[in-house]
Amino acid sequence: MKRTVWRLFWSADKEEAWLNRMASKGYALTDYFWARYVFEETDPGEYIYRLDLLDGSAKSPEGTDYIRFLEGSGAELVATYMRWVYFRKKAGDGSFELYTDLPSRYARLKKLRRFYCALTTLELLCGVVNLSISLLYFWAGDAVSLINVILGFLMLAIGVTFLVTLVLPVQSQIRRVRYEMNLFEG
Amino acid sequence: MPESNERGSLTEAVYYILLSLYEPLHGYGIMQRVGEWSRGRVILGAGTLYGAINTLLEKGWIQGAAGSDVRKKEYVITPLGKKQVEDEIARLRERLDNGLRVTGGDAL
Repeated sequence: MKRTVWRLFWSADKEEAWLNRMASKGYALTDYFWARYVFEETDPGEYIYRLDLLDGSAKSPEGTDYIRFLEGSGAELVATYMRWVYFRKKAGDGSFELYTDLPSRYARLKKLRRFYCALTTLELLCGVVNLSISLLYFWAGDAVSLINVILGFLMLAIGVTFLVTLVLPVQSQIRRVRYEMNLFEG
Repeated sequence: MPESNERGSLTEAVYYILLSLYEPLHGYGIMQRVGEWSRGRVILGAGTLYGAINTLLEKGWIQGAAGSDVRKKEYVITPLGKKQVEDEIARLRERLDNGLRVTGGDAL
């Protein structure tokens, strides 16, 4: 039995946690594309899912090299979406963590932060551009372009939301890992 | 004193990866070998291992093993890598000796 769920996530950690909750209820992800998740029914808790962000696209040489490496370690590639890759492994085969030491967790968090910062900047920039357009119309003596005002404020609001819900949490995770790195080597 | 002492210790993951590559191994083989040696204490995640292998290749501490298959690439330690392991063992021995001396743990 297939089940399709539409859902939009911005936070990779929340998305991964949700996929693992679904898997523990017996719905294992088999495909993903643009907020569309396809699940198959399995035994509850049969799979563990991990979501990772590549340096390039999944089809780039670096991307395929990494995917091949992970497949060689027994992980199964479930879906790719731009720079994101979804892997799973049977829970019966033992634990499935991609990043197991501090330096690699630190590097991963910094990559996530770059991604979230780019997303946030884009939203804020689009908001400013839209508001500027409406101001330009206004100065030119035309009627205020209401659509640009609405879009502008909407995008600024989304940008601020990204800042608070994505960038700041990852920032505090980075601070915590850096602190641990002062104490521990691994 | 060996000059690499100034560079500090290797991480546990790097130390065990280098040690496992005294014989050619592919990625999954490294994960298994390190898991066995540490009796399951050191689990190398595939993402961690991938990053470490690329860094070690860049440093010239390991290299691709001759004649290994593209799909299951094997790696092997280089003389430069062995030097790092030997320096690390000297550092570990110093740490262990001092630790036992101060805590009196050598009676255990």
